[in-house]
Amino acid sequence: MGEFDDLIGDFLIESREHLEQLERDLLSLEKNPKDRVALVCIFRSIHTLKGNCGFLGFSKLESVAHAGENLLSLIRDERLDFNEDIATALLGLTDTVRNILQSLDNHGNEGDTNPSQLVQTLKDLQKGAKTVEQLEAERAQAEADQVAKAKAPKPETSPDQGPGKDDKSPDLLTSSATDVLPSLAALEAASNKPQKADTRKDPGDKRSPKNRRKSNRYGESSEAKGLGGSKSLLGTKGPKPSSEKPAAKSDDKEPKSNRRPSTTTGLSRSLLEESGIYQAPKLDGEPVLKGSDALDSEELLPDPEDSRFDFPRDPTQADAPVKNLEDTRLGGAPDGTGSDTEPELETPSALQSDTDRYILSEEARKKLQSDTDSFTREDFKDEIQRGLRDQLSESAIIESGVLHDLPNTATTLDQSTLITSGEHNFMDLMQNLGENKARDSQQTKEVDAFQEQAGMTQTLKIPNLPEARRDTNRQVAETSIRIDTKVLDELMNLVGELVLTRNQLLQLATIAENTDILAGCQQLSSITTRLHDRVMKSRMQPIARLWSKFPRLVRNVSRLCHKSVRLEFSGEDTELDRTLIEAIKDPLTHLVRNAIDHGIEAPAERLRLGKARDGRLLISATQESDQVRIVVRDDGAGINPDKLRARLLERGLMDAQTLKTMSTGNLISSIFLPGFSTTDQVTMVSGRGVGMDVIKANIERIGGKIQVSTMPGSWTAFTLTIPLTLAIIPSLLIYSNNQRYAIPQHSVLELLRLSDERLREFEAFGDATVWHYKGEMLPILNLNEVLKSASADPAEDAGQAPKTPNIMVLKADQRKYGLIVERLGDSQEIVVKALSRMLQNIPVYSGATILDDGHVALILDVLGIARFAGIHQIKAPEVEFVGEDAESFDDLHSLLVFSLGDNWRMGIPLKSVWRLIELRRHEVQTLNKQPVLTYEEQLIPLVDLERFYDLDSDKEKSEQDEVQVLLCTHDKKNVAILIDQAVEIVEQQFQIQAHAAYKGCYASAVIDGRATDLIDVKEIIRLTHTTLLEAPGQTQLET
Amino acid sequence: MNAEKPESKSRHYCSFRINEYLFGVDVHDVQEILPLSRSTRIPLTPDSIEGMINLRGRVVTIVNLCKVLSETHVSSVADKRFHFVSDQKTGLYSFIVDGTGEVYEIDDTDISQLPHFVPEELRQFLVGAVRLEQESLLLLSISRVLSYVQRLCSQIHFSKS
Repeated sequence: MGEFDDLIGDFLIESREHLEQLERDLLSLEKNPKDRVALVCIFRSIHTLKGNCGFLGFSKLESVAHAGENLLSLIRDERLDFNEDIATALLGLTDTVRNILQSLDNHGNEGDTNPSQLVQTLKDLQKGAKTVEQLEAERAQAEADQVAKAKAPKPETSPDQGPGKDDKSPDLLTSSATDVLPSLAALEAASNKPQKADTRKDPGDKRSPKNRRKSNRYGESSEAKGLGGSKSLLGTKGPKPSSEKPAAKSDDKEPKSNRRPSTTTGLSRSLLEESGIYQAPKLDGEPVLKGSDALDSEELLPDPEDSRFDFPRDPTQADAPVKNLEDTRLGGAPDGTGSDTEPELETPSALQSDTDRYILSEEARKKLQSDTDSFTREDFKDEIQRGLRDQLSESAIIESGVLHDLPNTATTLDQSTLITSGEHNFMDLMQNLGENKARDSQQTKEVDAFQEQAGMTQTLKIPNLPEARRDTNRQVAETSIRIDTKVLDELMNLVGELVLTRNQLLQLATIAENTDILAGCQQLSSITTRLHDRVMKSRMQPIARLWSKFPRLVRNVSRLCHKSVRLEFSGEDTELDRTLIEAIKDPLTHLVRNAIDHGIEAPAERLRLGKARDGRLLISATQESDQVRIVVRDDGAGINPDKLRARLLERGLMDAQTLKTMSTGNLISSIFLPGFSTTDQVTMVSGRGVGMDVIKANIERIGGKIQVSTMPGSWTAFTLTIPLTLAIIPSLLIYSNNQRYAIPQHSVLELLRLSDERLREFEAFGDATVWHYKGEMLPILNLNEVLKSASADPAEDAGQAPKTPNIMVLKADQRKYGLIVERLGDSQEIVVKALSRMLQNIPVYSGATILDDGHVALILDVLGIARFAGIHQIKAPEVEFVGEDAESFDDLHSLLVFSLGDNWRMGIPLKSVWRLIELRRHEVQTLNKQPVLTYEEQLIPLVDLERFYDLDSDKEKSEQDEVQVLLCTHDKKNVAILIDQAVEIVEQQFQIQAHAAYKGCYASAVIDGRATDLIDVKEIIRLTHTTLLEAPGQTQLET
Repeated sequence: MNAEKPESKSRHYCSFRINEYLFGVDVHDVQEILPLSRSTRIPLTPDSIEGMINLRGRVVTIVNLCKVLSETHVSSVADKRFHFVSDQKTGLYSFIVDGTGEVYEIDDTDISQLPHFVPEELRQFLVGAVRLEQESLLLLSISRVLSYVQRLCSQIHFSKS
C-alpha cells in the first residue's frame, strides 16, 4: 500500500509541524493566558491532529488528542482557567504524541507508549471546570453588566435604524446569550462522545439545539438581506439551490456517498474543517460584500459558511430558522430594517460578541462535520461553483464560457479568492488552498484504497477525483515544494565540483590565450558563482528555527531545577547551513541545560547575592564572514577555579603538579576533559560526566571550536565558532617550502614587502619578535618556523637567506600579527573541505581545499597559528547582554594607557584610536583659534590634554619637541589628542571604580595597580567640535 | 565489524607485505587500490602521516602504513608503492603499502591467536592470524591503526602548546 505509506509520511510531517506550532502557542498562552488567538490555534492544531489520527486509525494518538481537545474546549469556553498544570499536561501531550509519531516513523506502529496515564491526567484536570449553569450565570451576569454599561452611553447607531431598535437591544443580547448556553452544553456533550455517534443521523434529526443556534445565524443573515432588499446570493439564492441540488447530487454522487461508511467521517471532517476555516469564508466573502454593503465584512464571515452548508438540506429547514429567529431574536421587531448585527458591534460589548461569534462558527463547524456524511467535497465544490456562477454571472471571466470547464473554474475560484482576500496574506492563502486541495485529493484517493481493502470495491474507481482538482493542485503547489534534504546536499556537492572545474578551466583558458574561450569561461564563471550563491541560499535557515525549541527546554529544565530563568536571544536571523543547524542542535541544547543546572543559581541564592531574582540566559549568534559565532551566556555563578582544581584532583584527571603550573585559562578549559563533572549529584538534567567532552567532540567534528570564559561569581560564556564548512571563500595562496597554503582573505589586513633596513626594526621581545608598525606592537611570526618546515634543501635556503620577506598583517579576533611568508600566490575562491578527524586537533589548519590544478592545499587558521605560536592567550570575545543592566558585567577592553603631566595616567579605549603619530609641536596649526592638525588631507581638531586640564608641567616646552598624537574617532568624527607618552596597551578585565571627576573622562579604574582615568572620546569630540563645526572631509564620508 | 554468528562465515582479506610480514585487511575496508602519486605534505604531523591527495573531489589523508607498522622500515620497492583507500567514519583515509598481493578467503573459524613471533609493537593493531601454507596472514584492524595515528597527532599538538 504505497499510497497509504505516502499518506502516513505526510501525516507525520504535518503532525510534527502541528506539534511545533502547538508548543509555541502553549508557551505563549502560558505567558499570557488571555491570548485568545493562541488558544484558538492550539485548539485547531490539536483538533486537526485528532481528526487525522482518527482517519488513519491511530487509536492511541486519537485518544490522547481527544483528551487534550476536551480539556481545551473547556478552556476555550471559559469554563476552566488556563494554568501551569494544564500547560505542563498539554506539553506532556505533545511529547507523548511526538514519541508515538517517532515510533510510527521507525516501526510503522504506535509503539508501546502507554498514554493512559496522560489521558487520565488530562481528564483529572477537567474536573475543576465550571458547570454549564455556573458559566451561564456568570455569562448572563457579565452580559447584563455590559448591557447596563452599553445602555448608559446610548451607542451611536446608524441613522437608518429606527429608534425602537435601540430599546430592543438589551433583550436581544440577553436572549442571545441564554440561547447560546444550552447549545454549548450540547456541544460539549457531543464532543465528549465518540465523533461518529452523531454523524449518521438523518438530516431531520439534526435539529438539535446546537444546530438550531447555527441556523439562527443563517436565518438571521437571510432575514437581514432579504429585508434589506439586497440581492445577496445568500439571502435570495440560498434556498433555491438547496431544492435543485439534492436532485442533482443524488444522480451522480449518491452511490458513492452511500458506500462510504465511517471512514467518510474522518475525511469529510478534516476537509470541512480546513475548508470551513480557511477557505469558505473567503470564497463567499466577496459576493456577500457586494450584496450588502451595510454589513461589516468581518461580521459576516461565519454567515456564508453557515448558509452555504445549508443549501443541500431539505427546504423545510429554510423556514424553521426564520421562525426560530422570530421567536428568539427579532420577535419584537419583525420589520427590522438593515442588519441587526451592527448595534452589537457598536456597543461596548463588541468584544464579547466577538468571542460569541467565534463559538458560533466553531459550533457550526461541528455541526457541519456531522452533516457531511452525505455531503462530500465535490458537492461542496459544486455548490461553490454554482454559487459563483450565480453571483458573478456578470463578470468577464465567467461569461467567457469557461465556467463549464471544471479545471478552469477551479482556477477562477482561486483567483476570486485571492481578489477578495485583500486584508490577508496572499501567500498564506495560496498555501492553505494548496494544502487543502492536496490533502483533499489524497484523502479521497485513500478512501478508495480503504474501500478496496475492505472488499467493498465495486466497479467504480476514481470518478471522485476529478481532473479539476489535480489541475489546481499543480498550479497552487508551485510556489513552494518540499525537497528531500539529500537532494540539496547532492546539489551542493555538485556545485562545489563545478566551482573546482570552473577554476581549472579558467586557468587553462588563460594559458591558451584564446580570447573566445576565455570569454566563454568567464561567462561560465559568473554563472557558476550565481548558481553557487542560489544553492547556498536554498540550504540556509535562520538559526531561530533551532532556537524555537529552547523556550520549552528552558521551561522544563528550570522547573526541574527550581530555578527561574529568563531566556533572551539575539541574532535570531543569522542564517546557517541546514547541516550545521542540525549538527549544533545537541551541543547547544546541552549547553543551555548546563547553564541552567550548573550556572544559574536558585532564586533565593541570587537574591542573597544581590543579583536579580531571575537568571538570564542569553543565546546570541553573529556571522563573521565565513564563521558563525554562537554564544551561550548565563549570569550565574561562573566557574570557580579552586573548586575546579579540587575536582580535577579528586577525579584523578590531573595531578597536583600539573595543576600548579597550569594557567587559569587552561584550567577552565579542562572542563572539556572526558569524565569531568562538577556536580556530585546526578540530576535528571545533567551531571553524568558525559557532556562537555561530547559537546566539544561534536563541535569539532563539524570543524568548529568551542571556548569557555568565565568570571567566578558573575557569568559563564560558551562560545561556539562554527565555520561554514560548505562555504566557498575567497582566499590568498601563499607558499611555504614550495607548498601552497590558503589563507582566508577576510583575515588579511595588509601585505607588506620590507626592505632590509626596515627588517632591522624587528625587535626581540622576550622570545618573540615584534615590530612597531603604525603605532602598534606587531608580533611577527615566520610561517616556515611555525610549520617547522625549513626548506628541504638547506643550501638553497642559505643562498637566498636574506631575501626581502613578505609580511602579511593578519587579524585574529581583535588582535593583529605579522606573518612572514616565502612567496605570495594568487587569490582564489576555494571550497572548504573538512579535515579528517585525526588532523582536526592541529590548531594551525582549519581545513583543506582542492586547488585548480587538482592538488590539495591546507587552509591556515589565522587564529590557530597565533595560539599555536603562543603570541597571546586568546580570550573569548565578549558579548554584551542586551538590556539595561549591561554594566553588571565587567568589561574587557583594550586600553591604551598613556601618561600626562607629571604623574597622571590615563587610558583610552583602543577601539576608538586609529593612529598614533609623532610630530613636532610646530606642526600643529591653528584654525578659528583652535589647534588643528592636517593628516592625510583632513583637518582634525587637536586637543592638548595638558592645556585641556590646565596642567603645569615641569618640563620645558619647545617648538621642536616631539610629541605623540592619538588620532581618535567616534561616530565618524575625528579628534587628535596630544599626549605626553604612550605607555602600553593593556587588555584585561577591570572594575570601574568610580565615576569620573574630570570633564572628558567617563570613569576611573585600577589598571596594573595604578589609578587610571579613562578618556571619553565622545565627550572630547563633543567639546572640541562645538568650536570647530565640522571636520572638513568628514562631510563626504557621512553621505 | 560484522556481528559474530554461530555458523562459520568466511570473509575476504586483501593481503600486502611489509618487511617480512604478510598482513591482511578485510576487503570491505578497501575501497580501491591506487598507485602512489604526489601528495600534499602536512607539516606538524607525525611521520606516519604522508600527506593528502585529491581523490575525485574528496580529500584523502594518507597514512604511511609501513611507518606505522615498522619504525625501521625501508621500502625495497619504492617505485612500486601503492595505497589502498578506506572510507572510515572519521574521514577518507588511504594507507601506503609496498605492494598488494592476493585476496584470501578466510573462514572465521580459522582465525587463531597471534603466533609467538609477532613482535609486541605490532600486536596492538592485529585482531588475529591465519595459518596459510607457507606463513601466517596477520589480520590488521584499520580502526586500531587510525586511533594510534590519531594519538600520535594529538601528542604533537600538546607538546607544542
